[in-house]
Amino acid sequence: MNSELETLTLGPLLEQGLPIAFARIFVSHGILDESATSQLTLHLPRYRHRTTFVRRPDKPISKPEL
Amino acid sequence: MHIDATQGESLFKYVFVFSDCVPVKGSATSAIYDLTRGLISTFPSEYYPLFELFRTQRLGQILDGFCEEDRANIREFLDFMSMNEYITLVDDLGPFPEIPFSFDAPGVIDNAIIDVSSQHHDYRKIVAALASLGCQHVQVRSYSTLFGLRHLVELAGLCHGTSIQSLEAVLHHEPAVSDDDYVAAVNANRLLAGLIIHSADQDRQIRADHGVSGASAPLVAVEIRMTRRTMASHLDCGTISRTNLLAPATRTFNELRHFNGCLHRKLSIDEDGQVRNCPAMERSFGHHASIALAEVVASSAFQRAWNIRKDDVEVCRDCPYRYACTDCRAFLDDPDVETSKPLKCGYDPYTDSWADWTTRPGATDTLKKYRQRVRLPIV
Repeated sequence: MNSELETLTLGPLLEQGLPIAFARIFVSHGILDESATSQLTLHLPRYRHRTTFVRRPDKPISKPEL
Repeated sequence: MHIDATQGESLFKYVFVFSDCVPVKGSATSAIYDLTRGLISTFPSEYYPLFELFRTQRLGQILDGFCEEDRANIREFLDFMSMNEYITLVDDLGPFPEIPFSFDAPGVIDNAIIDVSSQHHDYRKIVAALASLGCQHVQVRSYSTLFGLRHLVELAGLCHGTSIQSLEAVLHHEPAVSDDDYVAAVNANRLLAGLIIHSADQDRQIRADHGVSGASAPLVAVEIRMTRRTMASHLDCGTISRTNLLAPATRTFNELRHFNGCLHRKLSIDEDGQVRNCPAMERSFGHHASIALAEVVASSAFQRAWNIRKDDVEVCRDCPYRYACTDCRAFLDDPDVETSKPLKCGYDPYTDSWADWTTRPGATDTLKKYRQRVRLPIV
């Protein structure tokens, strides 16, 4: 198992027009096992523009008899 | 977790009450508030002095000071405390400081009540003034159909982009407004954090989910509650019961230790437009249209009610629930005594029993006096 980091080659990425941010942060096969891959892979939910955070007071403002 | 209070090693340790679990002494019953889990457990007050001993003596020393029968009871108490994860055993209490019990808030005013019955107010002026005071939460209570859903949506529009983070409403039912209208209004206005419709044709709940489904829906959904009961005036407020005790949290717990739970940083506009600490309180500080709210709020006369703590109130100071109760200073058991207990509370801390407050001798007569008072010119 090779624990040394491989040299990150940006050339092919830039040729494809991909921004540098698309490059993987680390490419050592020694430290990038399956669990690390799954942890790094974010499953973002579909963006819902109506999703909203409803702020609530932390105590009742009044105590109506209802 | 189980603490074996008979084991040699345990006897040389200190009983550490977790910093976010705070014992509160009551008369017959005392309580421990779990500020992180939002729970309250009660226990006979006879055990309360143990908390003093926990701070200074090791477990073995504590047990040595009691007879065998008491030791068995104390072990049982420790089991109860440890099973609920209120305590653990440590070698040294030094590294576990108390949570600071100070309280402050970003706004001069934290919350406001606007009552509406037979006349509208200058909502634009009120919202602008509240925003300049840093108010975060507003509740509007409408006793008639004069202020309906349409007005609520307009008020939400006025609040949008200000310091006001939430708007709650108690509205009179309007036959022409459908359930879908209520849901659409809430979904379209993020500020609407609570909606109760009184005088409705039946009791039911509708959910406005802001378009969110699944496990996260409860986090953002607003329950719209329809009730057949009627809220006719500010007299229908101030009830204290087991169900409206606060789930303890560090912020509210600290506030209630230092200030009045209901009135601290509250401003109210009553149905006549008068500025008060609470719409039901007798003293007015003038009509909102003719005075500057900031000046009223800055006055020591207005802020006086903020500082009536539960520890200052008769009977309440012996109640184990006093830091989970937002109190009521508008309806008092003895209206002539400022520090009298709330009229509409049915808890007796001396017997640890809850009862209907209206069955307490003289309570209904006192309420009648309050009802008669409102017919007189108030200012």
